[in-house]
Amino acid sequence: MTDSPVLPSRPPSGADGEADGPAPAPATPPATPSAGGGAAVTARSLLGTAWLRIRRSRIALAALAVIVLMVLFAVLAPLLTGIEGQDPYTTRTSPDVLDDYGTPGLPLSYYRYPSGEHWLGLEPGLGRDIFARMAHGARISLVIALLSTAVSVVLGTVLGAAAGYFGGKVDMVISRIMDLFLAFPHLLLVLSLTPILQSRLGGTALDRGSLLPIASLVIILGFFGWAYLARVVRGQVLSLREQEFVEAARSYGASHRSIILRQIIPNVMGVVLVYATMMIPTNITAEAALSFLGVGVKDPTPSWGQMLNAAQAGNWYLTDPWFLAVPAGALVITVLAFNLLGDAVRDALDPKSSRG
Amino acid sequence: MPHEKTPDPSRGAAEPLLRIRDLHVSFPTDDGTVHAVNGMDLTLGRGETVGLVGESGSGKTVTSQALMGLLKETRASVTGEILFDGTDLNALDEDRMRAWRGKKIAMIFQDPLSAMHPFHTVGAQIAEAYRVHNKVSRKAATAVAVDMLGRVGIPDPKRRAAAHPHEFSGGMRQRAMIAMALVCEPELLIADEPTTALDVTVQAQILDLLGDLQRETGTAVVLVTHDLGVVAEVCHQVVVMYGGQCVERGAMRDVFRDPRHPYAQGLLASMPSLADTAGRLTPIPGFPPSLTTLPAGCLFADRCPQTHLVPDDLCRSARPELAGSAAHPSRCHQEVHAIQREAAR
Repeated sequence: MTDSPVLPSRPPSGADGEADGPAPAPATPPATPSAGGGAAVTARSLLGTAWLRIRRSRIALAALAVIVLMVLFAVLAPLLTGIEGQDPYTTRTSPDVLDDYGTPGLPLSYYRYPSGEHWLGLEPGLGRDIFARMAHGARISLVIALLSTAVSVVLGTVLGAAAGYFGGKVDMVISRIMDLFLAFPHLLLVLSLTPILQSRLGGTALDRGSLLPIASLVIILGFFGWAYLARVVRGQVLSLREQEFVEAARSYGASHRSIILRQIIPNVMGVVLVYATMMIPTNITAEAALSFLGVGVKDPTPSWGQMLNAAQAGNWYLTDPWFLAVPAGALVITVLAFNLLGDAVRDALDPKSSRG
Repeated sequence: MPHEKTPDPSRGAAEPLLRIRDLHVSFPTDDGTVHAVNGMDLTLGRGETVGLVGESGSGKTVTSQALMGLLKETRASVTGEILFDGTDLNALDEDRMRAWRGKKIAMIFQDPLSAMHPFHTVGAQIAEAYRVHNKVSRKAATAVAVDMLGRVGIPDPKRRAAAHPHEFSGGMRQRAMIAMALVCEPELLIADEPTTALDVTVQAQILDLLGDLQRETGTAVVLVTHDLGVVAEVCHQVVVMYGGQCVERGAMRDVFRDPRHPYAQGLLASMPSLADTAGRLTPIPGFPPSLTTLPAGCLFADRCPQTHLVPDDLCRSARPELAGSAAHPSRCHQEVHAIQREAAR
């Protein structure tokens, strides 16, 4: 789970070559002539250029579409399950629904697979609606992944920028903390800390939809993800603070705060963005892994990882592989989409790739 | 540090805007201490222009950084007095210095492309420089910025204010940089090689603009340059720097007509002249002294063609003081001992 994306070097902060020249033919297939024609030289920021390049890559667009769909799926979960007419918590254990004989709890085949009534079938054992649990689970999985990434990004950017900008003792302290965090065996620590944190925050008996596991996962994943980003940001800032525009800002009397916020941070946003898009899928899998291992989101609250855990717990994956395939498939598709988008963002922000 | 308010009787109209006395700047490095500035003196009146001339490594830029207080909170050690309008800038702490930067003393840089932030629009950057010292809304500051862009001769300033620095030509960028420096109407402008990155025609335009703005606002200018042509065009006073010292200073005409120090003579001799078309330029042989281990004698002695004129090998054993006429002193033993120097020419 230690994902170390190869990060691009900082795009030229408007160094020579920014303003000039017709771009070589882009390596990405169909170059829409309207988008990048030299005729309209309008104000185009680095992010603007990157967006143009992303728009031109089919893979990136497909990945983006998948992500948007997944986010919509999560956001609209109550609406979608309302249309379906189901909810994620109702159990159905009557013998009409769940097998009573050979494999007790296995849904009868009408209920096991997608139908008009239950769009993705029923869960074995408790007979809850899989579609409803997937939709509500998506909310929790994505919220945990996005929030923990946000925590990491904010911590990493602020601490990395402070270390790089101020140097000296500040840098020493922050860098040693970074080293400490990077040196810890991640998974072990998270595994052991999560239950402790959960019990500290308010006991282990969890109600449905309890925010506790979400909060604890966000804190834990966010808190252990910032060190690598901080180190990257620190390195960038180290060279940025020697740039003349920083000296120029000092020479007109700007404060440290304003220099960090207005001069330095905008220049590391590219790297931070790339890192964030790579960190989101890592955190989705981390949430799933932790829930699968039983320290994350717990039944009855649904999350994709919790559903994988349920499929594994009763050996249901042997008799009802469908129940395993649904959350696993969603997880794979989502993580793949985020990774592909992350790659595309990285390429798009890399000034050395052919310009758009 | 002396921070007392000296009741200075000469204070008033005669008091210069800026007086640097015995400025020393050194940087600790792994290879020893680099003595970048070694006893720099400079006096500048209101509305005047002084040219700081010297080759690379002569301490011009470090002097201007020390002037801006940019070396505070670094490992550099800065000693001496930088009296600006009667206040010793070197004794101010970073917070108080910050309030002066931009408002009283501003700076323009050699390469405006790297001195302006690539992501913010030109107008926003000028507005930001204004807002640091003036509590106004972003909108009002932008109006000031647009006005300032117009004053530095940028056509259609309203539209250009919304453009990014890389969309400007080199000359336009330097104009924008000047607008950014002058937006708070400072009393002193430090121009660190403002025309070096520009081609010659644009150079002349920028120098004209600086001159015009200076007459308009009464700003004093410290012009750091290695281009003697630029100095001849705009400066009232010239300070020739070598090895972090002022080796000669005087009115522009005097220094150009009658350079006293062998280094200044060498600098002028290495400049192409329109009148004298014969032969090659005369370079100054050798390299500047190592700033980590300064020689005991004159810093220029190793490259000086006139050491034989000074008795007792004084050039290599004793560091000369500034001597000669008060209006045009130079730091040479020949001057100190009033040696008849015409023979050397």
